[in-house]
Amino acid sequence: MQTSPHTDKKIPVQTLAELGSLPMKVALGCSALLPVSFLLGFVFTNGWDLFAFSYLQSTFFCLSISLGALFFVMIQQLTRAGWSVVLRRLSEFISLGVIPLSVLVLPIVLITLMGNDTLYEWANTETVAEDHLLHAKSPYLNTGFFALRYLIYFGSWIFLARYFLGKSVAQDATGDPELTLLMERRSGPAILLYAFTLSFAAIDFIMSLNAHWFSTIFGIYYFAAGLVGFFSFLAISLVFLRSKGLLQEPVTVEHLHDVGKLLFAFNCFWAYIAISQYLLIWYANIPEETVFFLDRQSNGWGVVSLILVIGHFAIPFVFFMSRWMKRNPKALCFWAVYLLIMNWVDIFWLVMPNMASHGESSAISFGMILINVCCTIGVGGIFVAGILKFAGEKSLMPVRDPRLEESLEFHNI
Amino acid sequence: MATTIEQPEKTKAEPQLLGLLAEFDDPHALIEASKKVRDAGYSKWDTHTPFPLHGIDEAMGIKWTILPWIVACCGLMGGTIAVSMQYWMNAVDYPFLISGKPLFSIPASIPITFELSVLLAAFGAFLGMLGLNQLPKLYNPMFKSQAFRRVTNDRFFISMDAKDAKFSEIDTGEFLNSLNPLQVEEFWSDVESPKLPRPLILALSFVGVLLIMPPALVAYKRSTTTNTPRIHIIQDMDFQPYLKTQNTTNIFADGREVRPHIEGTIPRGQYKDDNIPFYYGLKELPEDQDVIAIALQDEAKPADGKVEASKPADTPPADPSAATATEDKLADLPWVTEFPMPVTEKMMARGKESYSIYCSACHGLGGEGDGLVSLRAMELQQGTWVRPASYHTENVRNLPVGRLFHTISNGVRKMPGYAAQIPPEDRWAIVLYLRALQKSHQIDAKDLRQEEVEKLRTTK
Repeated sequence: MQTSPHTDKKIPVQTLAELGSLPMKVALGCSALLPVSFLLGFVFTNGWDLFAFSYLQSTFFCLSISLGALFFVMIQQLTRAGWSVVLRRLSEFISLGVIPLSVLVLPIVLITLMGNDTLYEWANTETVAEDHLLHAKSPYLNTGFFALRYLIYFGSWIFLARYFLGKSVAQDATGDPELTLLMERRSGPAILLYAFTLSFAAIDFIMSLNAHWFSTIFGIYYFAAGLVGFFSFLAISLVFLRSKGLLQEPVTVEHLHDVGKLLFAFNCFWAYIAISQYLLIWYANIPEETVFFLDRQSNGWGVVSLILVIGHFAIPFVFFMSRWMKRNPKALCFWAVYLLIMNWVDIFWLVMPNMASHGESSAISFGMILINVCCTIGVGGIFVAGILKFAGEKSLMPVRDPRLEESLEFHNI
Repeated sequence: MATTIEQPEKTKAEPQLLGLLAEFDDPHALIEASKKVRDAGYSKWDTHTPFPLHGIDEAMGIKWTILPWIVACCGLMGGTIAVSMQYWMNAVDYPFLISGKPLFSIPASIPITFELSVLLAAFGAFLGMLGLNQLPKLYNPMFKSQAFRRVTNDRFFISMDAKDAKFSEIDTGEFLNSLNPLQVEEFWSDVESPKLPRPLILALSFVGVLLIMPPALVAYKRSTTTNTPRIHIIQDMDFQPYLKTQNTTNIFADGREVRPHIEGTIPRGQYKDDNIPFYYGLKELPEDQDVIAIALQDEAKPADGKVEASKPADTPPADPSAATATEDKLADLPWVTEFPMPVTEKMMARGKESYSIYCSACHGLGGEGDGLVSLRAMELQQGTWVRPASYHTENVRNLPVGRLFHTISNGVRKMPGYAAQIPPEDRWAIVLYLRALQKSHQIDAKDLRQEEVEKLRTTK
C-alpha cells in the first residue's frame, strides 16, 4: 500500500482542545448531579434501592455508547472502509469512555462482592441456598466469578480501545500504511473478543438482575441498543463540532448522511431484535420466560413499553426514510437527540422494572425518573469529561491515514 | 429454416437519422459538456459511461427519481396484503385455535408482514428501476457505431435524440462540435428487418421445451391414475415413530400404548354428570350404569363395521337371546323425549351436514338403509353384513330421541359408536335431522304451507 502523495497537503491538525475549557467545565459541572441524585435517594422511599438501580442504568447507558463506538472502529478497520476515516478518530475517542466507566462500575462490583443483594439476589448466599434455580446457576452466578469477569470485560475493552487509538495516533506521526494493515488484521479476532465480552457483560450486569429469567438474544439486544446510542451520540457530536468550526471541511453532508443511514439501520436492527425476543416468548408462553414482559406490562411499565414500540421504532422509522432529513444537520441532530433519549428509555426499561419492593416489581414513579435523570447526567458528565481528557491534544482526524483522501472525496450517488 | 421472403417496402425504406453521438475520452470533459447541453435546453438526450459517474445527474439536470415513492407504495401494499391475508386466513376463512392464542394477533403477524413488505418493496425497487430506465432494451441503433463499442471500456458519450424539438442535424452537430469531443457521428435507423440469429432461436426453443416439461408432467400425473405406491420423499415425516392406538409397546408395564385415565381424574371437557340428558340422552343415570355401554360388548362388536364387511365370515353370529335381553334393558331406561337444547334452523343445517358425512354412507341420503357401502356389500354378498336399519319403520319411529342419541353415540349391532368422532352437539343435530327425514316420509299434505306445496309441484 502506498501513502497517497497528496496526504501531506494542507490538512490542518485540529484537536478537541480547541474547544477551550468550557466543555470540560460543563461536563464536570454536570457530574455534580451524581451526588445530588445520591442524596435524592434519601428523600424518597426505597431511596437506596432506587439510587443503586439508577446508577447501574446510567453507567450501562453510557457504556453502551462507548461499546458501540468500539464496534464501529473495529468494523471500519475490518471492512477496509474508506468513507469513514474522517469520523474514525472521534469514534476512537468515544470508545475510550470505557476507562472512566470501568471506575464507575467498580462500586457495583465491590458491593456485590461483599454480598450485598440490593441489585443481584444471587449475591446473597442465604437466598441462593433456599432457591433451587439460583443454586443450580451458582457455579456461574457467584460473586467471585462475577468480579473476575468484570476484570476480563473491562480489561478487554480498555485494551481494545487503547490499542486501536494508539496505532491510529502513531500513524499520525509516521504515516506508515503498515499500521492500517496491522489494525485490519487485528480487528477480526478483536471483534470476536468484543462479541463475547459484550454479550456476557450484558447477561451478567443486566440480565442477572432477574436471575430466574433468561433470554439467549439478550447480549445482541444490548449491542443493538448500544449502536443506536453510539450513532446518535456521533451525529450529535459531529454537528456540534462542526458548529464550533472543528471538522467542518472534512466532514461533509455526505458523511452525516451515512451516519444517519447507519442510525436508521441500527434502529431497525434494534426493533428486529426486540421483536424477535418478544415473539418467541409470546409464542411459547412459558411462565418462566413471560415474567420479563409481565413485569414490563404492569405497574405503569406498559406505557413505557408502548413508548418504546412507537417512539423508539415507529415514529423514527417514518422520519428516517427521508433523505433530506439525513442530509440536514439540524434535522439529523434533532432526531439523534431524540433517539439518544429513546435509547436511555430503553436501558431504563431494561433495568428499572427489576427493582423489587415487597416481592413485586416496583411501579414507575416520579422519584424514580428524577433520580435516574440526575444520575445519568452525573455519570454522563464524568463520561464526557473522561473522553475530553483522553482526547487531549490528539488530532481529531487520522491525518495520515492512507484512505483519508477517499474519505475526504466521499460522495453518495 | 425457410428463407425469409424479402419485403420490397422494407428494402426501399429510407434509413432515418435517429440522432448524433459525441465521443469524449475523459469523464470530466463529459460532465462539462453535459452541463452545456443541459443549459442549451435539450430534453431528449443521454450520456453513456463505462462506470457510474458522481455528479452526472446534476450535470444533466436530471430530477430526483420517484423510485423511493414507488418502493414505499409497494412496501405499504405488501404490508397491507400480508395483514389482510393473515386476518382472512386465520380469523375468517379457517379459524383454528393454536395453543390458546387469539385467532388474529399482531405479534404473530409481524414476521409475515415484515417479509411481504420487504419482498414487495424489493420488487418495486427492482422492477421500478428497470421500468424507469426503460430496460431491458435488447437493441439500440447506437450499437452499430464502431466508436460506441468502447463505451464499456474507456470512452464517454453524449447521444442526442433526433426526436428532440430543438434537434436539427446541422445546428446540433455544430453545437456538439463546440463541446470539443473527439468526434461526432450520426446514427441511423435499420433498414433491414432485424432477425434473431439462428443459434439463439434454437437455444430459446430448447429452453422453452424444458420449461414446458415440468408443468406438462404435473398435468399428466394429475389426470391419470397409477398402481405404483407413492414415492416417500420425506421418510421421517411419512413414517413417524409415534405410538398408535390399539398397539402394544414395551415402554409401559401393562404394554398398552393408549394410556388409561389416571384414577380420580376427569379429562378436560369430559365431565358429563352436570348435564346427563345432553351427554347420555337419559333423564337420569340408571343405578346399573353398565347397561348403557354393555349392549355393545355383549354383541362382540367389531372395531369398525365397514372394514369388517369385507372380511371373511369367521366371527360367530351374535347370540340372539343376549341381544334381545339388552334390547329390553335399554328400552326400560328413562330416555329423554325432548331435545335437551333449543332446536334451531342452524342446528338442522348442522345435522344435515353431519348426517351426510357420517351416516349417509351406510344409511343412505334418505335414511332407508340403502347407502353406497351397504349396496356394495349386498352386491358382493358379504355374509357378515347386516343391512343398516331403515328409519322409516314403525319401530324406529317410536324410539325416543334419547335412545337415538344413545345409538349414535355407542352404536348398535354392526354399527360402531360415533361418540369419539362426533361431538354431542352434532350428535343431537343428527338426531334432529333424522326426525326431519322420518317426517318427510310420512307427512300429511294438510300440514304443508302453500309455498312448500308449490315447491313440491314445480320440483321435478
